[in-house]
Amino acid sequence: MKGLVSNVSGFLRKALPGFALGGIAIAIVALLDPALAKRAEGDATVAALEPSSGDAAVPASAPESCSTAQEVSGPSVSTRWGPVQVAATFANGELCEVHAIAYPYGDNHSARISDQVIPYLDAQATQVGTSFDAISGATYTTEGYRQSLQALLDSVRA
Amino acid sequence: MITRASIEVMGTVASMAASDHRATSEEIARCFQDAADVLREMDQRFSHYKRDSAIARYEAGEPIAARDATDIEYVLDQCGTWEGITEGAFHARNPLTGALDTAGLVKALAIERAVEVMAQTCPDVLLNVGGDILARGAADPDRPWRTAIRGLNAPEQVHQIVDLRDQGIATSATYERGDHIWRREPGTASPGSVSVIGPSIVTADVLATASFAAGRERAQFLDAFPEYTVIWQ
Repeated sequence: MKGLVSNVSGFLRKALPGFALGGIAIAIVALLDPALAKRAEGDATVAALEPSSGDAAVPASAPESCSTAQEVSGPSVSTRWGPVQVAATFANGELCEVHAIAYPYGDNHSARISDQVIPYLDAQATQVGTSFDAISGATYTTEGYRQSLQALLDSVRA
Repeated sequence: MITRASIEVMGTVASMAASDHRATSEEIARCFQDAADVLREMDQRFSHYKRDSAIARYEAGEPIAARDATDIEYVLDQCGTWEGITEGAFHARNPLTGALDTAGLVKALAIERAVEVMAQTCPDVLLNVGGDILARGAADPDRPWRTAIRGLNAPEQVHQIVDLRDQGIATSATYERGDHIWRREPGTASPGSVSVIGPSIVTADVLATASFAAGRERAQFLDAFPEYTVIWQ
């Protein structure tokens, strides 16, 4: 498994100074809302619609730097569209980056292609004169991603 | 000021936004909760993935509540009607397994109902569920709700910005994936997308799905929907 270029790491470091499964779950959900990256002063997010799923402990023997961190993969989780599997790297008690290493590819009929919207957020910051409230297109399916990520985090805790 | 919330539902993310220029923050919180309730109820009724959903029990011949049965039959009837209108390009069967798959239409219907509930109290709302978006009112007295249609070739690519004025937008697509990110399945379709914009998100979703399946040369059924804008990539 090769390491991946990811814009996730920068964004997650800003969004997640700590390491908490509930926080990651909310952050992943939040990351799929593109306007959060460019929220105006005073915007608020109502977070009370979904219960938090609790915290995960910081790995005890985490590597020092993200560039040397080993990638750990979660289990393959089957979803309605096919298998999903995530992998992540950790350093200094922080999540460096997370990415899917296997994701289903739909057919023309269902056209429910899932994709990673996270890079949008970094890119959005560089769009000249562009701001928008929502993105139309296939968006991330979270079921399998969260399950694989949760299992991965649980195994790193152990 | 725009307030936002997101929930996971229907195997994807539902993002809602409301402007406070004609609603209080208490009203907005109430609207968001109402929308979440509608989406979750629809998911519980129609999810093919939940073993105890009403539609799963319906398909297994098990008894279900009358309200669920009525709604399921309504959706199946709608799927049949749309299959006729699109000459089979839209259908509610998985082509590989033959299994019933109402997910697309149900998602759009859920959006329609959730926005209808929200708009009773909050005139300026936007709801995005898995890339299907419906908006009412405006983001600001001076600015309409604004959406971006994704480009094909990079996750951050924006093809076009579309303002929604009491309209919905739905997109059917496949996107290019770099080998360094995704394991590409064999027989992958080449990238392309269709976005449809118009007053009904259900119609827009069906037309986007059907047009994408049929292809640009064979989507003549679109001629019957002049009030809908179609954007091909």
